[in-house]
Amino acid sequence: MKNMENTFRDSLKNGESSPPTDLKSAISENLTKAGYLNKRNNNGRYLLWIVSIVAIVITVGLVTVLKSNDEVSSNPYSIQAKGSDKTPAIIENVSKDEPAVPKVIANDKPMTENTQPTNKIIESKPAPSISNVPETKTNIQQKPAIISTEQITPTPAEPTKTEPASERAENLEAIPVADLNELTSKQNEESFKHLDTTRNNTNNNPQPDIFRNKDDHHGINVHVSLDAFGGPVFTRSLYKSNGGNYEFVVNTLKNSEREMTSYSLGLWLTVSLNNFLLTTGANYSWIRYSYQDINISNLTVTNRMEALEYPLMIGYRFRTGRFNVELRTGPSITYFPKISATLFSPTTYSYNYYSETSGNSPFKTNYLSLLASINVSYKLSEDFSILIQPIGKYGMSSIYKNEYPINKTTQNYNFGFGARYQF
Amino acid sequence: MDINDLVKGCLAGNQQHFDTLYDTYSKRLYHICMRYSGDEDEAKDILQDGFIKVFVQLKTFDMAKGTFDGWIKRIFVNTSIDYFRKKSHNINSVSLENVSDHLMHEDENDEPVYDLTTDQIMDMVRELPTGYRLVFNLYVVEEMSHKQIATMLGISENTSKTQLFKAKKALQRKITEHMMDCQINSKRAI
Repeated sequence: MKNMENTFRDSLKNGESSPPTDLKSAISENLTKAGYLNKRNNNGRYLLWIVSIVAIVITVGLVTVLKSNDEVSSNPYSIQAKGSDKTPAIIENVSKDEPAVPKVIANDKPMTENTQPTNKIIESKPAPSISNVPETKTNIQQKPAIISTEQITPTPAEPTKTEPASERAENLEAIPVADLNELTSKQNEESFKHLDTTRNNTNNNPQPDIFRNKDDHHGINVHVSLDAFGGPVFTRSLYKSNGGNYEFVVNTLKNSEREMTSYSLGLWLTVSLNNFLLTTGANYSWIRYSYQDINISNLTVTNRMEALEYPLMIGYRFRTGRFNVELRTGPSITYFPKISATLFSPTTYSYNYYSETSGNSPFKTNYLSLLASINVSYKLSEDFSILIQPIGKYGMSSIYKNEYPINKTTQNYNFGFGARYQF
Repeated sequence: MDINDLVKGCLAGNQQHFDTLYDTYSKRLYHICMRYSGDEDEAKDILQDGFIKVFVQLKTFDMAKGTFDGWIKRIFVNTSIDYFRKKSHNINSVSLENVSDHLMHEDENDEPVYDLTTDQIMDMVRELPTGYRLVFNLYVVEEMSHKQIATMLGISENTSKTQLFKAKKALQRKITEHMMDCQINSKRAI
């Protein structure tokens, strides 16, 4: 009968049959019910990531746009065409021989009450008759007196337009020469009125904006900064009986657990409104602790948990020179994306291995904590700072599920070292 | 997807990884369920039970000890056996009279080569009584020894041999009937 056996074996051994199509969903549902599949949790996790990323992108985008507007409008040297939108184009073409007036005022002659450099220059060089000037680029550049009166107007910036020389000359020709001198002096007066105001506002600091601290704007300033840091984490566990007579177990756990140094990385995004701070972001921690049972068996295990944490904190910034000291506090929600833990069962006195938070695992999917941090940063440049940041995290609830007979809360102390980028 | 990633994803309860696992293996596994079961409902039940067992035992899977294909197939064979144990199908309920070794080894090499389709072979096996079917599958397809089968089913080695002998005889009868039907049909056609 060997032939029959071979025939049957060959036909049946590696055969395939398509199962009914509805079977897959039925099996999936059964596995979900049994706790082996966590469809909802995964969806929730993905959603959380998407929401976080979208929120960060929108915040950064909005604040960047607001900030760029704020920078332009607060710049006292911003160039703008007033009365005639042709003027800015002329300013751009000022020759090297006669540098633009704003540069003279800003760098060479700091503003004082008696300083009127532009006025004097303008008065000593009355505008030539435009009708006699040939329409060349060079000649147009030689009319700084008219131009300079407009350059310093601190009104909101408009897009600078560049236009052909011939067009500019035409506009100039439209104004009679006599009127030009009158206009010049009027404009100069207005211009210097503004300069006085500017001086008052900037406390006699004539530095152009690029030399100033980004935080030195007046009024409400909104800034965004990104902190990246990492460092060691020290964890302390607190065990408590969740009702019932589990004192022996609690004592066993207290005596058996040994803290180990863990590590954490963080990426925090802070929106500051003057010195008030709103911070969110994410921390990823690799937490380890060893468990050595001396009472019941000689088991020694190292439990590992990876925790993903989303903080939402408020704070206040103190500034001293290049140093910033920031105090923050707020809640955070922690998820366990990965668990590898052997736990002593308080009911069966046996050891069980868990690698997830769903199903029979005693671990909660997420738990709430309170964070408090002190951030000390030192400004290396306009954009970059280095920072040191001790963070204390206090578990507000047990990391075990409510029905589990033991409560375990944790306290983490994280020493983060890193850098800050200010947008 | 790499088997390690697949296993890790399933251990983490990832729905996408389950989908991949199911799509990759379900046809082969359902075929196993079909040849151990008497009807389609039983095959469906075994497939469901089998996948639950896979997830329960997934953390015990060790790549160093064997392939994932072999491991998952063994789980489904065991699930099939357990299914009939649970359903109180007494494997011994079919005639267990011992057949002499002489009879069991007769005509061993003289059988002709059969010209049967996989579906016909599958149908013939599924029509066998449960005890015959289990032993036949374990011995012929899984290539287990009578000693292993005896341990697995909780019967004696002799009983395993008897069941196999009777399964083969039953199949032989079915094949003969099938061939006769074919001959009659071809004569009618002529």
